[in-house]
Amino acid sequence: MSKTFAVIRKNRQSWRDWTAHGPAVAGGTLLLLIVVGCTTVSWWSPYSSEKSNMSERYLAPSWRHPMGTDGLGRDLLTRVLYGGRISLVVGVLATALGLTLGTGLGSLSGLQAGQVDNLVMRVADVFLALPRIVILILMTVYLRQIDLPLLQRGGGVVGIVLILGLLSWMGVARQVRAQLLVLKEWDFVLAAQAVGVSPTGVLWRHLLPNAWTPVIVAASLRIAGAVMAESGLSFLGFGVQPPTPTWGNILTNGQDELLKGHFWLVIFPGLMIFITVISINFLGDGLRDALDPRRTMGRK
Amino acid sequence: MKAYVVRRLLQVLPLLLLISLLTFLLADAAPGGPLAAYAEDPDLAPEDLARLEAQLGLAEPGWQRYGYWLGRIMLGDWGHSLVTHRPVILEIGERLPRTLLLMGVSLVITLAVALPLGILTAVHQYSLPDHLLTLAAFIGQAVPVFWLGLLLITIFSVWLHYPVSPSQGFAWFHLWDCGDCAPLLPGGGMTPIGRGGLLLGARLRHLLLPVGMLTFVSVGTYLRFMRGQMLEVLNSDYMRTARAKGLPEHRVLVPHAVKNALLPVVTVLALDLPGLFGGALFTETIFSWPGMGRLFYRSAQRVDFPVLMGIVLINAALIIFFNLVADVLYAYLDPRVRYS
Repeated sequence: MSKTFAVIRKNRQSWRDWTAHGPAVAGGTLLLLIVVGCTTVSWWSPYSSEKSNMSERYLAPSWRHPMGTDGLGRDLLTRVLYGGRISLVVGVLATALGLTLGTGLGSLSGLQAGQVDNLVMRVADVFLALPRIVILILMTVYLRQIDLPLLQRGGGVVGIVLILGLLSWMGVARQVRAQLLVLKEWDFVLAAQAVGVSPTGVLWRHLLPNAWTPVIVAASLRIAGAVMAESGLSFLGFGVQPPTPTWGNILTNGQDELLKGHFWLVIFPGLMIFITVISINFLGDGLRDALDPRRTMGRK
Repeated sequence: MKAYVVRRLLQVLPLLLLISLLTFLLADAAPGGPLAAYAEDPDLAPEDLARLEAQLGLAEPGWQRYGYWLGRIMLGDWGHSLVTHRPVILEIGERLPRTLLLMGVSLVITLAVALPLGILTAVHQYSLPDHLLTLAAFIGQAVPVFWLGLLLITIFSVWLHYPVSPSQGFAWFHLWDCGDCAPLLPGGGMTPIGRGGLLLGARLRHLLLPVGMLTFVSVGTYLRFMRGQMLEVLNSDYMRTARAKGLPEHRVLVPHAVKNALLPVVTVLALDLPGLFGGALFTETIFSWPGMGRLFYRSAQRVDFPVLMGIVLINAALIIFFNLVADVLYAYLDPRVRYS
C-alpha cells in the first residue's frame, strides 16, 4: 500500500519537475537545433540561398524541398536558415550593445544621484513613452540619408544592429540603477571604500557582480524582443534589405504570393520567428525561476 | 488631491518639451535640409542660396528656430505634407479616430477575455486550465503580429469562402473559390469598395480580422499580469482574515481579492499604450486600415518629415496624457497612495 503511494508521489514529483523545467528544456533544445541548423547549413544544403533556378519555381513542400521553393526557384529551407544567421546575429549583437550602454548609463545614474541621474532617467522616459517601432522606423529613415559604405554593406545589417542597440538600453539602465541604489547602501561597499578601493573598483568588483544576475537573465529575454523587432522592421521594408535574407524580409516576399496560393512562403519564415521567440522566452523564464530564490518554482 | 493633479501636470510639461525638442532636432539635423533641392540647381548662385536661407529664417540660431516652430505648433500650424501638400493637422485629424476605433475595440475585447481568465487561472493555480492558458499566453506573446495577420488573411480571405447565392444549398463555407463564392472575411480596408460607409454590418466584418489579430497578441500579457496580481492578493493577510470571519468563498473572492488585484491593471494599461500603437501600425499596414499607423508607414517610405513629426508629437502627447490619467485614477482608487 505504502509502496503504491510512493510511486504515485514519485510520478507527481516528476510531473511537477516537468512543468517547472520542461518548457525551459524544450525551449533550449529547439533553440540549439535552430542555431546548429543556421550555422551548418552551408555544409549540408545542396542549394544556394541566392542563385535562382527557373525550372523549380513555386514548388510546394516536398522531400526534396521541405519548405518548398520561392518565385526564383530557391529552396526556402536553405534561405530561411541563411536568414536565421542574420536574424540571430542581429538579435544577439543588438542586445549586447544595449546591455553595455544600459549598464554604463545605469551605473552613472545610480551612483551619481542628482542632475545626471535625473537627465538619464528623463531621456529613458522619453524613449519608453514612444512606440518602439515608431522610433525604429524614424531612425532607419534617418540612417538611409547618411551615405556611409559601412552602413550599407550586407543590406544594412550594421545600421540595424546600431539602431536596435541604441534603443534597448532604457530597460537595462533602469534595472541596473535600481539595483545599485539598493546595493550601494550595504556595509560591504562601505568596507571596500574604507580599505581604499577606488570608485571604479567598487563598481566593477563589488557592485556590478552583485547586480548582474537579474540583468543578464532579463537580457536573454531581450534577445527575443530584438529578433522580433528586426523581423518587424525588415518585414515593413525598413530593416535589412534583400538580397541579404532575414526572416522578416523573406516574409515580405511571401505577402505578395499569398493571393496566388503559395502559402508556404508565408508560413515557414514566420514559424521560425515564432519558434525562436517562444524558445527564448521559455528558456529565459526558466532561468529566472532557477536563479531567483524568491520566486516559487511551480511546486509548493 | 488637487495639488497632486497639479504637480503631476507640472511634471508632464518638461517631458513634453523634451520630446518636442528631440523631434525638432531630428528633423532639423536630417541630412539634406530644406534647401537640398536648390543646392544642385546650376542657375542659382551661392549668393542666392544664402539669401534664400536668410529669407526662410534658416540662418537664425537653432534655439530661435525651435522657439518659432514650437509657437506655430501651439497655434495649430503643423506644416504641410511634402507629398500631398495638405495640412499635417488635417491628415492626422481624419485618421486618428479610425486608429482609436481599432485600438479601443481591441482593448475592450482583450480586457473582457484576459481579466476573467487571469482571475480563473490564479484561483485554480496549477490546474490543467491554468497550465493550458499559461501556455496559450506564451504563444500569444511570441507570435509575430505581422505573421499572424498574414495567416489570418490566408485562412479567412483566401481559403474560406461563403456562397453568395442561397441556391447553393446548405454549405456554410467552401474551401477555396467555388465560382459563385466570396471570401469569408474581407482581407483589408475599412468599408466595401465603392459602397457608402454607413453599412454597419460591412464595417463590423472589416473590423473582425484586424481586431482579432490585435486581441490575440495582447491577451497573453494581460492574462499573465492579472494572474500574477491575483496570486499576490490571494496570499495576503486580509484574505485569511476574510476567511476567518467565516465569509462564504464568493464574498471573499470578489470584494476582497478581485477588487484589489484589478487596481494595478490601470497602470499597466497606460504603460502598454505605446505597444498597442506599435501593434496598430502593423495591423493597419497589413489590413490597409486607413489610420495613423498606415499614415506613418507611408510617410516613412516617402520621407515626409512634417507628417512624421506630427505623428510622433501627437502620439507622445496622447501617451503622456493617458499615463497622467492612469496615475491620477490610481491615486483616487487606492487610498494608500499619498498625494504628498
